[in-house]
Amino acid sequence: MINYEEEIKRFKPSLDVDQIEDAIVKTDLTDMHEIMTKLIEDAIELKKDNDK
Amino acid sequence: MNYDITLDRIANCYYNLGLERAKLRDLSGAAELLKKSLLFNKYQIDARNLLGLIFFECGETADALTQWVISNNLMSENNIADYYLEEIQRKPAILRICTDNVNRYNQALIYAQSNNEDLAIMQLNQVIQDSPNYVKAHILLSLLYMKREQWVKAGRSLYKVLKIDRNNPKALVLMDEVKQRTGRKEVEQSKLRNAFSHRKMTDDDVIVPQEVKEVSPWMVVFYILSGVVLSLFTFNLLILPAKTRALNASNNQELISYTDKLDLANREIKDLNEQYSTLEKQYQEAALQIQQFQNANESFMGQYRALTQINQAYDSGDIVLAAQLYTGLNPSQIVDDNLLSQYQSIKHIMESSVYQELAKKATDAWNAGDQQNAGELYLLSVTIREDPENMFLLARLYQSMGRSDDANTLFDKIIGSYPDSSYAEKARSIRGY
Repeated sequence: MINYEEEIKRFKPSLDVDQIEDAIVKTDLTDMHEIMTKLIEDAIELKKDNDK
Repeated sequence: MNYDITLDRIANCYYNLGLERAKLRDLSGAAELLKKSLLFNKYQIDARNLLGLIFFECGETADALTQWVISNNLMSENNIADYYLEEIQRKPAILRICTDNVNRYNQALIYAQSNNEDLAIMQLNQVIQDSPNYVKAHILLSLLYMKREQWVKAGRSLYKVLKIDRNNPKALVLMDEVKQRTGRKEVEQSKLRNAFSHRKMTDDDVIVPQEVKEVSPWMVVFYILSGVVLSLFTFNLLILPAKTRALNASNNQELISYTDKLDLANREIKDLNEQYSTLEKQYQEAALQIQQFQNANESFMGQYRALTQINQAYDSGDIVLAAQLYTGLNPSQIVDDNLLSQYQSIKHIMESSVYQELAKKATDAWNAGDQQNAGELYLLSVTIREDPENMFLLARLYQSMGRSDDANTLFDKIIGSYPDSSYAEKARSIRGY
């Protein structure tokens, strides 16, 4: 049974054309490349620290 | 590094899957896959551009623009996003309509969430009218209709959504509910059952052939006759009326064509008659003009001849003939300027000297006992110029000739026209006033 009130409340406003700049700025463009690079860099750093 | 290539491959795979879904118009599924592709490789420009196109198709213009702008920033050369953005910028009306629709949708959403369903439905209908592909607006509208138990209207909205985005999960769920409420689900299920079911034939389903009976010769004759009768009946009932109708229609067509021809001929005759009338009228007018010209010419010639004769008579000293011709002229008919000036000079001579000479001649004739000639000369003189003295003398002459009525008329005229002259006094005493 669908709860119409709840369904309607779940709707979010559409993005206005005036808000495009903000939306672009706020867009998270991080991808798996960057995550992997960061992880590898962190691992290297950790290894260096352990070696010391 | 190896993981770079692996991540690129994964991103490409997701993009390919997304593209396949998009080709099948499963826009929601395609969008999810493309987002995953971008998660693995944000430089997967095709995926980002296709995601923008999907947003645009679903009526989310701002989201589409966002994706294309990011795409353009990440790769500015040989990027089709540049073309999309140019197309949008080239037609600012589209952007304005989209902005208005987004504002109206957001307003409708506020109405819907604050239980102002009437206003929300009104706004959403306007939005859909301007942007028929606005999926979110359709779904919200269908939810509002469903809340009001207007299942058919909700179903229509959801049907439009599913035409745009074939596997939109929300629309599918809502459509399922609508179908259940309207009983359509059962109909579809039974149709499916019938289409794919294979039941065994029962004994009742076996077709038992009828026995072939032998027919007697009389029955054969009867059947043939019945067939003939039935054929005739069918012919009369079905074929003959159709034939008659066709024949009538053909005759009617022929009649119409003859009527048209007759009408055309009548119109031609009418036109010719009108042309004849016009030409006749033009001919009459031309003849009248010619007649007028001829009359004018004759009149001119006559007037010229008369004036010339007056001049000749006057020059030769025959003032009586000149006066007779002068008095016979009708000056109102002289229209030619040359003739008019000639007439004016003759008139001047007549009225200044000739009338007196005529009066003198008349007096001489009277004294010589020629009253008839005297009367004619006085009359000419008076006709040329009304002089009370000459008029009085003529009146006296008439008196002596026994023409009392003419004399009295002249006396009365002197009294009326020249009341202060001495001849008026004399006339009054004669008339006994």
